[in-house]
Amino acid sequence: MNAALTRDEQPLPSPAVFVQPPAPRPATEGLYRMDVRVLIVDDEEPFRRSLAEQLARPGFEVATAPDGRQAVEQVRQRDFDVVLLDVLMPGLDGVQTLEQIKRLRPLTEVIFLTGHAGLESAVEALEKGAFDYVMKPASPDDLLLRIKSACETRQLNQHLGQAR
Amino acid sequence: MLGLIRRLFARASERRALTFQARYRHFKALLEANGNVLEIMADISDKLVDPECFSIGDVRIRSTRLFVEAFKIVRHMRAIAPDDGEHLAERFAALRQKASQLLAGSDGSSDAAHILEMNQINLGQTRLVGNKMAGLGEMRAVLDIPVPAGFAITARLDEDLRRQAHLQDEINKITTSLNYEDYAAVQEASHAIQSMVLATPLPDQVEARILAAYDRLREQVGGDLRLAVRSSAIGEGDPRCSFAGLYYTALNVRRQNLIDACYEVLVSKYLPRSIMYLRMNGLRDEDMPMCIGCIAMVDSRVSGTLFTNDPSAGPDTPRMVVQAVSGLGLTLADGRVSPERYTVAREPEGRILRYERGNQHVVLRPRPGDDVAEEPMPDRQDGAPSLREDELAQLVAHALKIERHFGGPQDIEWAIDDDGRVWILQTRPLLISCPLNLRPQTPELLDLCDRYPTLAEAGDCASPGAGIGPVAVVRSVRELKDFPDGGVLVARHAMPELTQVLHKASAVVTEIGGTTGHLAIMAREYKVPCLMNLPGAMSFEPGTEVTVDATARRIYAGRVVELEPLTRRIAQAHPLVGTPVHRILKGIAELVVPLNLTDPKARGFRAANCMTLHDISRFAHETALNRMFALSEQGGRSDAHVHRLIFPVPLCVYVIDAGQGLVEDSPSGEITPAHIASVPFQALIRGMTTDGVRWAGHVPIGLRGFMSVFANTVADPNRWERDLGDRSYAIVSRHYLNFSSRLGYHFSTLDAHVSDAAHGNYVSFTFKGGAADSTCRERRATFIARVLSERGFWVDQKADVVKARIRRIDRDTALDQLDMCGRLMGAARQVDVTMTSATLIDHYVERFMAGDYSLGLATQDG
Repeated sequence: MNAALTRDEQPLPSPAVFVQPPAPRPATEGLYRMDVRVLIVDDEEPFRRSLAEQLARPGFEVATAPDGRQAVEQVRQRDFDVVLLDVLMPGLDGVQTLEQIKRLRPLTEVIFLTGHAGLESAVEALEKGAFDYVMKPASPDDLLLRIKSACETRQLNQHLGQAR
Repeated sequence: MLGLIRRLFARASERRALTFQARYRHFKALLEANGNVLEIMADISDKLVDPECFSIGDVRIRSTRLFVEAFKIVRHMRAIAPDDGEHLAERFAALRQKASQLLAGSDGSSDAAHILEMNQINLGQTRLVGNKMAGLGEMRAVLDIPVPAGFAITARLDEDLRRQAHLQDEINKITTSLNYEDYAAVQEASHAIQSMVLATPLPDQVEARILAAYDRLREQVGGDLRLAVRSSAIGEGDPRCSFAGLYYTALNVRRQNLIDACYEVLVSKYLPRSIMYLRMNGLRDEDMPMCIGCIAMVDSRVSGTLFTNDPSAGPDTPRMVVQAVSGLGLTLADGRVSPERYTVAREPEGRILRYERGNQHVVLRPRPGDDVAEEPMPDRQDGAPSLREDELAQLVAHALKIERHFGGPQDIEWAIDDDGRVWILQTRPLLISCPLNLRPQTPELLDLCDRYPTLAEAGDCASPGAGIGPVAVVRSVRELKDFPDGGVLVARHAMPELTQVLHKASAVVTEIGGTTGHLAIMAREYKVPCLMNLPGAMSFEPGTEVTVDATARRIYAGRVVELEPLTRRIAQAHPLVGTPVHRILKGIAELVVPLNLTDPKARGFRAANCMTLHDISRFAHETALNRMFALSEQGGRSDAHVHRLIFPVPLCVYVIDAGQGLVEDSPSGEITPAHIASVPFQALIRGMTTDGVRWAGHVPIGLRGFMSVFANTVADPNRWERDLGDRSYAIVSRHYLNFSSRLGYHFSTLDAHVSDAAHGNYVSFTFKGGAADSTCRERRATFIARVLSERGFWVDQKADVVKARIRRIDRDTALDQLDMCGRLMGAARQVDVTMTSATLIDHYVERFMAGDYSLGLATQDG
């Protein structure tokens, strides 16, 4: 997303066109209004389930996948807003999965959610386009805020794409 | 036609608005990431000075979070200020590489052989074969000392294995999130890791190579070759952390069981006691690659240890201590039997100065098939010493050679076979007790203590010193999880498993056990007083307070105050400072914490000069603000859409309207509070300008007054003149406020959304730093944290960083909180240099809550 933005860089608007810019989306308000579709990818079933329950509570539409291959398949079929992705999984690893998801759906934001504290893999994931990299255990509030932020970024990118 | 133009114009203006939105989002995200970086940084500085125990997992988590947030700063900078962003990306890449190297550690043996024969080994190969095997090879090659034949399986096996199928990552995943205080959790983690290791196949052909080495050795030795398969970890045997008895040894191993035995040694690195030990010593799994020694078994008639100095007497004693058991020596190391003890002279070699009988009820012998078995000890008629003087003389002769060569007191393992041949099985540096603990046995002190009832006066001092605490009898490993902090550990045998709770024990007492066994070594390492071979110890009443004087070999009922000065806190005796984990944390901190770009007006304030993440964060923050507000480098003129707020507070505030934040006909250039339409900003200004809130110096009215304050505070010694040069920024819309101000060295952000819908409302306040010294800064932060917490905020404080937020509050409450924040900013601004005592915090909090916003301070009129 950033590469696109920097290419499209413009000077700040003059007051004349600055009369009614869309107001910044308020914090949690927007989260409830949004129809958020989330995909959870993790090889540990109990974790998938409990996180899915947690995210269904604020009204998210939640799907899960046990590995990278099935995650990519689901992304092919549906346009998710946010994918929560583990780093270490059998088969496709997290970064490979990220790359395939981004190829299919450039606007879908990917947040890594993992127990793996590896500086290299974290920075690599961000370089390859991950929106965020969160270490387990993450507080539910913190996770919600990050998902919200990812959704807003996606929405903005969508609008930018349409306005172009 | 006209319609098309209008549509195109509308499209263009919408696009520009969106571009601003995108830019603004980057800006906001940058501020957020910046706040996170500052917070984690404060935490890392905290950890460096705090002796609190931390593991490599803690370091990994913090470093990863830090670099993730720093990456985001750079990412957003590339969008906001592409040129500077590129430079920052380069600086970031360099720091990331250094940090990764620090965290990755050694990787030296990837091209090395898997097997080294004993005659290929000397001390030079320590990094490959571990300390134990390197020592054996050295003794054989250089000193011509009788050492059994054998071979070493190098660190490459362990490293290759851990590379298989992400094994190391999976292990780190478990240890990273492990709560080491929870005994059950440690056990569970231990089981999980052990099963993962056991399920991981050896790399291709390694198994064949190990078996081939066995076959070659059998040809060389002849007959029915059986092996002792022992751990030989790199770093094991360092006197500061000996790893004594932590790892597994398989005895009497034949070819068909060799691979299993290797696995058993490898997984013993993940026994609960080993996991705890690594953590206590600040070591990572990767720091301790396990090498394996495969040595031809010595069927010993008698075996034992030799200390070249008497550890209970301190350095420079002219005598050595030999402990001996019948059969294999494992019973001695494990503390299951009390050995015979010989105190012998160095000169003439091996003359017996003193002999103490042992108490050995079982003998360990090889079984005919494989493995070993305990047999009852055959009655010995007379209790005569099992070692002859000539055998002791041989042992002492070897010991003197070894000590000379390795340079320092040694702890030597030996065995004598049925044919009377002496073998040396291991040597490692001997930890001599810290002389502080070795007080002279003054008769006066003992007399003073005589007033107290004595429970016991016997046993051997395995680790000197005194300890006071409640008796905690441990009958089985399972009971270890309930061991109380500061308890006096009482057990029948000196089992190595007891080392798991040594860090919590104030003293250790066992009924049976040798003072040269593993537990004794560990007790000395942890500087925990330890008394062994004390009959009847198990009958001490659990829970009653006793005083153990290990040096005097006495136990008193109750607390002997005269001995209190001799007890020491274990945590201080075993600091993490200097351990590998601490070194790594320190290395990371050096890449992160120092701030070189302190002055934005200085010429060197450039992206290319960012040497640390702190510099990146500081530079990005300043630059992003400038770009967002399109201010010239000189800081004077603003663009038309940026407004300078003139109000009776000596802050230089620039305002940018992100949508209905100002009233419709606001002038460009200078505005007053009357032009503010942003609901949260109105509330903040109300608070800042409340009567009685004292900003530094006279409260000026208008620019003239502002300048007069400037003149006043220049003379002020408290560096406030710097503050006035800095700017504050407000991004506002009708319901939103982001207010960031940097006042000299302190920096605060207020972020709020206030509308009629309570669930979307929040106020979040971040504060860091100050010009005063770190103690004053921290006190001011505590003052702020306390006020916010009393006002119902959720507050997190680390050193001088405070993060506070409150959410889901109705409109009026939110505005009230913002008003309060305004008052707090004013009140807090002046206090850090006055925070000369911690008691002032309470006082200030009280005054503030009572509505005295000058906090009772004298006015700063200069």
